[in-house]
Amino acid sequence: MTTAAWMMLAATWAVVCFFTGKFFLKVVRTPLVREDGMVEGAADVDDVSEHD
Amino acid sequence: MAKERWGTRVGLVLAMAGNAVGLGNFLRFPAQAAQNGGGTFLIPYLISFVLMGIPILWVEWAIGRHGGQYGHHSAPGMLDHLGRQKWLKYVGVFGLFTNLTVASYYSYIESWTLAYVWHSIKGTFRGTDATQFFPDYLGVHAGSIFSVPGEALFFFAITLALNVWILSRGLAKGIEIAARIGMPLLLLFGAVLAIRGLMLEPGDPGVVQSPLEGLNFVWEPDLSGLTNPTVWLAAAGQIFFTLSVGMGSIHCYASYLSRRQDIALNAASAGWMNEFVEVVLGSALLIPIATAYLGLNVVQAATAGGSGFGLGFLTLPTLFNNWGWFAPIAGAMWFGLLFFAGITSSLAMGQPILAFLEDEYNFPRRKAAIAFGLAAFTLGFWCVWLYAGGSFDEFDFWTGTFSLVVFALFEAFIFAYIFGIDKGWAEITRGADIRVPIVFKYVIKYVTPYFILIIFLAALVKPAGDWSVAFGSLFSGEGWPFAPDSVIGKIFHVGTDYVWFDSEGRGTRALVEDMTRALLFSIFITFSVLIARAWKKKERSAR
Repeated sequence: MTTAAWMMLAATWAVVCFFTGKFFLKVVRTPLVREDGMVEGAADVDDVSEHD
Repeated sequence: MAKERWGTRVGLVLAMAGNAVGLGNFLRFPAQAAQNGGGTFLIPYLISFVLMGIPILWVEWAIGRHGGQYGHHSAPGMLDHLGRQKWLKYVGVFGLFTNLTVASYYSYIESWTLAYVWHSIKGTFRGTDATQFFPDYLGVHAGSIFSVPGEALFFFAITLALNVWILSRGLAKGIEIAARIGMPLLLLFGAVLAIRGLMLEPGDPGVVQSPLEGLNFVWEPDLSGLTNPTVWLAAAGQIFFTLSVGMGSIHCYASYLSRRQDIALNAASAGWMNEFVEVVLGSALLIPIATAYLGLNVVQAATAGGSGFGLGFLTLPTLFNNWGWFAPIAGAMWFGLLFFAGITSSLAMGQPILAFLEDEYNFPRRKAAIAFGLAAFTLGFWCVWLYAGGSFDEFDFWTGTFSLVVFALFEAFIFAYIFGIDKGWAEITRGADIRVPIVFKYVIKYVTPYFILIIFLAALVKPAGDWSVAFGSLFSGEGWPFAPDSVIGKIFHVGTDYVWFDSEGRGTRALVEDMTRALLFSIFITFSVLIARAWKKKERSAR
């Protein structure tokens, strides 16, 4: 591979990996909070009623 | 009926990213990059992503979440709430029409990947050349426009049944679980194949050239491309189609968020994840591996049209045979990752149809899923049966290309100028977990809609050959050379012998093309009538 090709590849992959990682990590660290204040993963009334 | 919602934020982002990640990430992107300036292509590509891709993602997420607050999870109801104009809901027809029609032929391609996983594991490609296997599998015979391939129909039915089953399980227990399984596996399979492929060296069995020459073919910058409008249009088009915008599926997924839940970060994360799959994995698989075994000249010729489809389905299965005991696994991984890319997209196409039937016609979810499956199978059968006659290509052009651009064009202008950019900006930034730079408010109003308008106009009058040559032809009095795949070229069957029956009385490709257009038009009208009836019913019950 030529130096120019390596440079284009490295620069683009770095930009894409940086933003993908940055945003996804923020998504992982910030759980969904619903209107009723419940945080994702917590059991709620609907889940219980489905088993009735 | 219990209100549906996403189970987890990661599940939502993976489902959205899965919606965007499709076969084009692996088969179209590397060929487009290689043919349009190599590494230089990435400059207009990333600029288009920032000025058009990310903003239109935010617009679609905002329209979706806004519509969801009014109980609408499909495009007609969402657009109806963006302004007082009664015609707005009919723009939403595109958000149903496109999803159903694209799902019908896209699921067929998806079923090929499933069949190829099976045949890779079975070892079919050890004894059969994949270039011969493919037309046989599709039942294509020279001189006939018809094909009824039993095995392809079987896998098509299985694929659609799987889609229907997942959709019928609902958002959190169906689509989200599929995305949480499919996306990590796709990344894993892609990474394993890329590492194995890039480690090939001349001297290994069957290797004729270093795979790095293939990588160089994709990434070697040709700076003259920066002044070529063809390169810019190709880059903008690639961004547009890779993000699955203009379909109504992003709106639908976002409509299950509540009023204050973030859309800015979610949209950015899903969009960049798609870019990771496309730019990093997409460029490191197909062309480097094919170059290693076939040589660069063959690969250049095979991707000259800007698509790596032939290499992916016709060549790669045979090339994996050089990998010894790992060959069946590699084949299953390659087609497995294409299958996961496909199914996460087709599920996103099914959900808006289900949502429309549930919201506007009170269908139970399971019944709506079955209705979607039957409709997609019926339309898909048209593509299977008349594949050789060009029905498949017609579906792809009018629904998978033209309609997307038209819908995105409408929504970009409606959002910025009818809903209003101030309300729109407030919608995008409400509950945002990232700070969205204010400059995007102006980009969304003054840049993105016109960016899409240029793509639309370019598709309308795309010339045969280079744009500069076409302008030269126009100004020298020879007229504009419409490409056969421009919108105008398609409408007027440019470059084809336009007769419905040949000299022996057999139907021609032109006949199939016109019949397919009539079919698609009738589906569009059907959705318009369904919307009119649903709103009439609402108005009656409101009185």
